[in-house]
Amino acid sequence: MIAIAAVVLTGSLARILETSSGKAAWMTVFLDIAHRFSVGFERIFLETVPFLLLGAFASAIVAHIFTNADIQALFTGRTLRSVLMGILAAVILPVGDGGSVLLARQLLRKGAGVPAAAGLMLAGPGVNLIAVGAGLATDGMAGLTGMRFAAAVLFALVFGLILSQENEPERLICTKLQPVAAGNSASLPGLEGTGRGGTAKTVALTAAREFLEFMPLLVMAAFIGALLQALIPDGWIPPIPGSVPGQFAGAGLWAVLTAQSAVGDLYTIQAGSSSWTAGAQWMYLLVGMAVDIKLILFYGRIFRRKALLYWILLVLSMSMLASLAIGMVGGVN
Amino acid sequence: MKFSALALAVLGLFLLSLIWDGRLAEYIDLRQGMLVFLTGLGCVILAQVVLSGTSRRDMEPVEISEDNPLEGKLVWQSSSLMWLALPLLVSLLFR
Repeated sequence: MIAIAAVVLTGSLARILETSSGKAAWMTVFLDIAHRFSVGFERIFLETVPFLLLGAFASAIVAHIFTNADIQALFTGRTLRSVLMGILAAVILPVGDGGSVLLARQLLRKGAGVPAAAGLMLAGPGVNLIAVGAGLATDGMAGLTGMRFAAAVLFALVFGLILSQENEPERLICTKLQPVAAGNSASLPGLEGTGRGGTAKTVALTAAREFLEFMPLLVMAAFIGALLQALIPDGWIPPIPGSVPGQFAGAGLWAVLTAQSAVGDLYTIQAGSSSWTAGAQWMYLLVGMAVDIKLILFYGRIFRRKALLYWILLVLSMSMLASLAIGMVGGVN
Repeated sequence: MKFSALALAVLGLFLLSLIWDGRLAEYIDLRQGMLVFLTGLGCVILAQVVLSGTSRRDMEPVEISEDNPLEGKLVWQSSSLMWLALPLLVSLLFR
């Protein structure tokens, strides 16, 4: 309610100021902030919604088409194989930003191992078919897309193997995600379809429920991200001239706040490729793919706080090292 | 679930309207327009499916009990769709 009231007040004020004749300095600043907020909000929202819907459908299909035994046969255990199976599923299935979280959650409910589900969820944004296809089809971005693909696999593999060392999954993931004993984990009273097309209808109903369940989180992430984008100083927005650490910090922070999808951030890099340094581009792509503000909120529904913190630290440190290496080489074409 | 269908329909129409009046270009790269278009279409179709699939059940009284927390959760989610107001308001007011 507070957020809605704030948006109404600020938006109304912006409309009034736009139509007023005076252009005092504070008006210009206010309108600039309001514009940055609205663009930031809608960008996060619009770029994520398609992937969330795809993820909801994938999750519903897993819930109603596959049995627990099917899932457990593919994704069980705490082994390298299970992590690789998770990553392979992320490559094959078109579930990216946000969508991979829904699918991973469903797999966990069906009894999949935590490393496999985590591998799918964390690699998803960087390796899914849509993001890779869009990157390969974009002029001059094939190299970065390929490198990002490799980095996403590496990040997910390393973190999946780290998680596989933990014997008690309840220390890694929320207790509500423990697998159900048997049967259909997603069935709710009254949601089962009957007769012709019953399964398809049930899948659609489950997809709608899962999609809407994550929507408030997405709106919250878009609101926080857009607010912070609007309020940070202009000098922190890339491309930042000056020292390498400053460039990397600026690119990483902007990636977290803008929370672009794995498709949108490639287009942003392409549009600003002449003014961004190679290391900053790389930092933006890697951090944005793994730990932007919406993903942190989404992952928080799966991981416990400590596991989430480890993931953030791993991504930031590995992205920094990779960006330094790319910066020293001089870029990827 | 009728509220869910309504939310899906409004969201779908909102996405399609952004493409219709060309305002999508203000927010995202237009090369993602196809994704947004298909999502808008998908939301509208999903709304129709949800409405047709749950209308009979919605006419029956829903009992919220400790034994069946999922039903209570569904009702709670249906009544808390205010999140939808934010993207609509931002799009309408910040032009």
